[in-house]
Amino acid sequence: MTEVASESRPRSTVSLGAGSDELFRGLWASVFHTGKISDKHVLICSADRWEGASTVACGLALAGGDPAGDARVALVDFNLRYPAIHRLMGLPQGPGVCEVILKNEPTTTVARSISRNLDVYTVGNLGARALDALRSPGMSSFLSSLGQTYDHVLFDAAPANLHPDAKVLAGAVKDVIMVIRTDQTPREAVAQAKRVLESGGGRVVGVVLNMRTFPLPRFLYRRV
Amino acid sequence: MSEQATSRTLREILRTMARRSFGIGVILVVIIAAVWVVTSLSPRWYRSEAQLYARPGQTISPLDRQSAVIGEDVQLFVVTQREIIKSNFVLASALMKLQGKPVQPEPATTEGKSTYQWYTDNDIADFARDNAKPLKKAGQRVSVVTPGGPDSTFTQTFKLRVDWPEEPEVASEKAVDPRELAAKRAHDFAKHVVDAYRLRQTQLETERMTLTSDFMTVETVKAAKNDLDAAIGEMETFVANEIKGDLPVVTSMLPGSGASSDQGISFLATHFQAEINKNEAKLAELEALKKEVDKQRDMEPNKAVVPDAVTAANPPIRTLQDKIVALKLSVNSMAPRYTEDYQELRNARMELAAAYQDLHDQLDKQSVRLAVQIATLQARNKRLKDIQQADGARMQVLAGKAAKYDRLQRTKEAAQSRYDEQKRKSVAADTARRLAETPVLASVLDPPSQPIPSEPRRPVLWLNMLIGIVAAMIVALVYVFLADHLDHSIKSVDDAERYLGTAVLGSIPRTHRRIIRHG
Repeated sequence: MTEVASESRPRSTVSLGAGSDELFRGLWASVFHTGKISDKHVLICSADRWEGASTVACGLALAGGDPAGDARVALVDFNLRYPAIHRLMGLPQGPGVCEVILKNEPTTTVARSISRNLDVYTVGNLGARALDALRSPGMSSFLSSLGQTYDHVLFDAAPANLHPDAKVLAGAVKDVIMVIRTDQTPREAVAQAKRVLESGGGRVVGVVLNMRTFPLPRFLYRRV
Repeated sequence: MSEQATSRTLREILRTMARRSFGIGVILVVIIAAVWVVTSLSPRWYRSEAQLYARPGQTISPLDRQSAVIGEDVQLFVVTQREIIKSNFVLASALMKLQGKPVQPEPATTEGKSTYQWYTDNDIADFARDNAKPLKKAGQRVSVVTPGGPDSTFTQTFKLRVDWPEEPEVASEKAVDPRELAAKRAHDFAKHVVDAYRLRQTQLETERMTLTSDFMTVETVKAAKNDLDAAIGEMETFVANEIKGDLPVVTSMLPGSGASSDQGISFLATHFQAEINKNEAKLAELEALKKEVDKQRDMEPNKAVVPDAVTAANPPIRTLQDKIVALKLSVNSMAPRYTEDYQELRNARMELAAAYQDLHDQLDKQSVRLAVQIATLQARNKRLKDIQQADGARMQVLAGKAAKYDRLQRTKEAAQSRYDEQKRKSVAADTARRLAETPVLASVLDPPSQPIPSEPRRPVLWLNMLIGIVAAMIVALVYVFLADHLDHSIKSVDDAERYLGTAVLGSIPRTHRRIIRHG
């Protein structure tokens, strides 16, 4: 059903940049092909804003949902505070996740197909408070329906140190990948976020260092 | 293994520095630029240099002193010279001279002998009070250096330097070239400083002379001297009036004079005593003998036994005894064979009786002789004892005198040592004061040099830059490592694993290209 939809009406052509493609494929491999993930669902969040969690989520999704591959991937934007995925993917904000869990719209109507193997669920229009939305009864059925449809589901969440959303989501999703902005995020903040996520029932399977810099010039780096 | 560790540490250091390369660059540029600007803008100056030679008082001989003390004194001396040169007197005088203030009072000549006049103390005090700031500045322009350290002898050659900067406002006032003015003033000021320094030394030397002559009037020294004089006087009076000719005897009786004990009266006394003792023993012996002789004499003649001592000394008695023995033998041999009427027997008996009588007489004589001997000995002993008694009385008198002599001598010695101590102290204090205040001789080896107006001195640019670069590098290093220490952000995979304890799945480099491409 969705296969047909995605093939019949490709809304936009989004792909990874030339250098990034290889990079995110590698990251995808180290996340999903090393046995670290126990479930289909993976939560991607950060300690603070502007660390690039949404971008990493998009990149991962684009790398994993390769049209040539055979795994079906969904990217779900649960970042109800600072939604960014629709902007990164060049999609309209709604209708999306909020409509599904609050108004019980069918998932098929809000799923936007990027490629043959990748669907994106944008955030939609939040009519209520974010925490209420996350605790609404439609939540669990949405998650289970996603699990049935896709092989891998990536969730984007609001910063863990700023809002309790990630903590609540971690209870349902379990596996968490944290994105850290190199040279900026203090280690105390990351440790705090990790504690928050674990207290919510999640499990931080690993971190991704984003915007990493290499201060040593390459010729020097090879020598020392 | 270790190579890897070293390279890792090095890499960590380099990475830390590279991360802060911008900050390092800013610090280096700012500090070096600041040093360069300050050095370039700093004023030019002119240096006039004079070489001086100074020597402290004649009385201090380096040979008398320990080398450590000399070293300290030389140091003290150099410091003193510097203090004198930098004193208000010298600087104010030189400044006043430089400003052309007339010397007050005007140079006076008395009887064709010109006396060198200078500013009075009041002038200098007034000037120093009113011109504290220029005086301080002048002090900064004058420096005293001792190239090569103190001389080996107790002297010091040192250089007096005057670094005079250009003063554009003064030059424009006088309408002269600032360079020429500064060069001239550097030289003139140096000359005036040297003059004032030498004058000051003369003054201080005069003060020192006064102090040296004053030291005898110091109260404690005077008191000690009086004590000593009194002790010497008392001693002399005692010797002159009471001891007189007995001085050698008295000296020999002093406790300490063991060397002369076999002379003098004490020796005589013991000698006499020995003779008396010998005589007494002889007397006792003679008396015993006389008693024995008397006893034998009073017995019947034929039974008398003459003591051996008497026999040995008297040949007549010995012959008598021999005769008696012979007669006894002949009587004994004749008695059984002949009757009593036998003439020869009768003769022999009569002879024997006569011999006995002779022996008796001899013993009697011996007794009388012994009595005479005893009387003689007794008389001699008596005389000896009399002499001894007389000497003892004199001895007692002399012993009293000796004790007093001894006491007086000790008093004198104590007074002498006290006086010496006071004198030494007083001299030491005086020396210290002189060292601290007054060198004696200062002469000018080289007069102040004349700086060339076209060759000003300025700070050495490359030296300052070198110092600036080193300082900037140190500051930059401190900044880098301090900033790195205080920065808790996660910088590497190592950091993440160390501080978070979770696996690093991957790292995404910062890039300026778009990660997600549209269209």
